[in-house]
Amino acid sequence: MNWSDWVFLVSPFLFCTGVFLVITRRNAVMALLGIELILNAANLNFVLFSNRETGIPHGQMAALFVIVIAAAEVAVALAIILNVYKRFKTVNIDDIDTLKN
Amino acid sequence: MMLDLIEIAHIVFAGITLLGGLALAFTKNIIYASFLLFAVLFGIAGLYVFYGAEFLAMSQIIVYVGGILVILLFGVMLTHKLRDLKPKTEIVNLIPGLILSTGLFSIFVVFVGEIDFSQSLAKDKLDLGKAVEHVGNNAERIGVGNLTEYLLLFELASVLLLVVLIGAAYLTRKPKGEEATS
Repeated sequence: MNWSDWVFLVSPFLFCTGVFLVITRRNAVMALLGIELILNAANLNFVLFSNRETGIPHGQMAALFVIVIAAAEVAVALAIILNVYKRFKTVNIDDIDTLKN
Repeated sequence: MMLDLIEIAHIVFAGITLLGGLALAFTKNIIYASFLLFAVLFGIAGLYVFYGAEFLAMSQIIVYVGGILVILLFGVMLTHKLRDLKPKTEIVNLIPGLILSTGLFSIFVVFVGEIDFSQSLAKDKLDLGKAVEHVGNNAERIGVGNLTEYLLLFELASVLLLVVLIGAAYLTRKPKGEEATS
């Protein structure tokens, strides 16, 4: 492994940070932050490996559509979180267990 | 190894991203976490410029930093009573989380170590002098892509955004009959 290959480790690091956030937090908004981090890690890899000189940059197109989907996802997720907060008076994921058993 | 200015700037942006991500993993305050996410997203936008994606860097700043983060902060403020301001969250499952994420990361490190990148396109992307030559036609190429090969996806994305707009407004509305009470 070449020393200059560290650039390929930035997005795995962000991905693992996002996974860590989703696992260790019980607040729904924090879990959402973790998901955003995971999406951005994927985006970074797409952009890093897309062709950038001529023709359509397919990797960048994929990243662009991921950004669109992420924006839509955050809007809907926050609408759901606000509704959950209105009903249960909490956003702690562990406390919302009406469907358990 | 001599570092020129572009490489130093590249390392600085990567450092902002990595340190922001690390701090984000261990902060307990949701407000701090939101602003650390701002730092991470900004660092990623900077990295996009170095990888020859100026249009995407601008989209990243406008959509993520301008839009999504504001919505997230709204969510934080609406779900934590402003009177007893305690936007804290505890860290649970610390040990399993650490084991899983560090294990995953070491697997990635091993994989990246196995791959020979010297033949790939991405390697020559890091020849940053070459990147400067091609500055300027990025937005044009993305526009051509949007209206030719990705036309269906482009239209579907616009329909999706409309659906989400209506859906989010519908989900957060007040039920009928409650307007009078509030």
